[in-house]
Order: sequence, then C-alpha cells, then structure tokens
Amino acid sequence: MLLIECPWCGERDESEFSYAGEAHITRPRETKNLSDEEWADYLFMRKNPRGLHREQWLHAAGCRRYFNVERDTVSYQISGSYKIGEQPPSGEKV
Amino acid sequence: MADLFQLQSPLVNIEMGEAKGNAPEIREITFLGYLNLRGKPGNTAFLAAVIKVLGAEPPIEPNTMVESGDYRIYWLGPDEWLVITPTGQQGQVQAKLLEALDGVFSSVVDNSSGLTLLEINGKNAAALIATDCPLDLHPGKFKPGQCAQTRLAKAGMTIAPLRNGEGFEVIIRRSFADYLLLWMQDAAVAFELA
Repeated sequence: MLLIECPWCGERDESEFSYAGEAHITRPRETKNLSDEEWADYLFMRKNPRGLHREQWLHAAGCRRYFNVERDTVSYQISGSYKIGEQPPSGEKV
Repeated sequence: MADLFQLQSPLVNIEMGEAKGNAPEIREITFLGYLNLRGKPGNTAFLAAVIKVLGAEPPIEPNTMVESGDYRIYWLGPDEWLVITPTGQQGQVQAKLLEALDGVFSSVVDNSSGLTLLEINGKNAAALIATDCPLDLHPGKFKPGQCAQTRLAKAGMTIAPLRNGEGFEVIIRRSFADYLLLWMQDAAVAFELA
C-alpha cells in the first residue's frame, strides 16, 4: 500500500485515492488545425518512464481534488505531491 | 403539502439493541439538516455572507470544523463545506444563505435527505471503526475540532471525534446506513466479550 500525501489532507492511505494518468499533458489549442498524428499524440501517447514519473491522483474518498504526485516507477518511492499548476518538488521544469 | 411526507429513518428495519460488554454504543441522530456550501474562501463577499447567516467563518484549515450556535460547519474541500443545522431548519438556512450570497459566485445545496449521522460512543469506539477504516484515529492525531473524509468498510464517510474524547460522529449516505449499521454490529461482537 502506498501512503500518498494529499496537498490539502496530508498523508492518507492509497485506498482513498484513484489514479488519473500522467500529469502535465496540456490540451492543444486550435484543435481543428491539428494533424491526425498530433491529435493522436495528445490523446494516446504517454511517456511511461522507468524512474521519476509525474502523475495525477484524485483524492476520491477525501476532499475530491486532483493533484500531482512525483513517484519513482521502479521503487514506488513518492518524492512529493504538489497542486495542479505548481512545479514538481524535484525542481525539474515540466 | 409538506406534512404529507413523513420522515423515516433509514434504519427503521434494524434492531439497534443495547451495547453489550465493552462494545461501543451506536445510535443514529436522525433528520438533521445538511447543506453543501461552496464558494471561494478568498472572496470576502462570500465570507461576509456566510458569517452573517451562520455566525462563523467557514473553516479554511483543511479537515477542521467549527461550531456556531446551533450550526456546525465541516471542511470538505478547499472551496466546499458541509453545514449541519437542527432538524427542519435546513430550508430556512438555505434560503437565508442564498439571499445573502445573491450575486456571489457560490452554491448552496440541500443534502438533508441524502445523509444521516451515527454516533459511536465508548472506549472501544476507535477500535471498532479501525476494523475497516484507513484513517489514523489515535486521539493524539485526530482531536475534537478536526474532521476527515475517508472510507468506512468501503463506504464514504465524514468522521469527527466527539467532545467527550472517546466517541466519534460519522456522517454517511442514507442509502449506505443499513449496510454500515449491520457491518458495525457484526464488528462489535469482537468487543462484547473482550
């Protein structure tokens, strides 16, 4: 079980959360001008890294807010949580 | 028209019974008013309107609650609160809030028919809830004045410690009330003999 830190509620059990995919994927503007390839890239293509991954979680059984988590996909170590719109704690620009 | 509707507890079909041995006492507090209040905590017009009607500012600190006269305000999210009013006053309070919040970006929704409240009281109250609840209920971590939303036996709940220090109030969906009460009665058997 993971212990996930909600930016509002603090550390809570994983069973209170639901996973919401990779973070920092921005919906393109002017979608009508996109090629099929660009649109498919936005919809389907994900990084799936080995190592540090920034992902969205929803505190479904708690405050029902989405937030971002930085987690190592190898060790499952969570290095921190941050609100949507903020930069990850590792300092790496996204 | 309104008196045609008779309020009925969701637990009418279950024998509540007396608490046996060291099992905590479980009772339902019926028919309270529940209002879901939403607004921006940084908006002074919103805060002023809430203070005018409820007599207190909604708690900004996450997972805390405030009491103000007959009303209790629980933090549910950074822009969301649960207001509990005495039985039958929810309509009046909702109307007053809507009037005070006229033109302010906010919402007030009456949830009274959807929720109910159980009080679990006794020295094993925390142990009984901890049978299937991931929250740390230790009195050093979870004190009166705090509240939290989490799961109880997989069903969602809002929980707050009682002022007496050895009980909890548990706000649950009405449709889950019979399931949760039967689950609690089953879990309580472990404490009847202990």
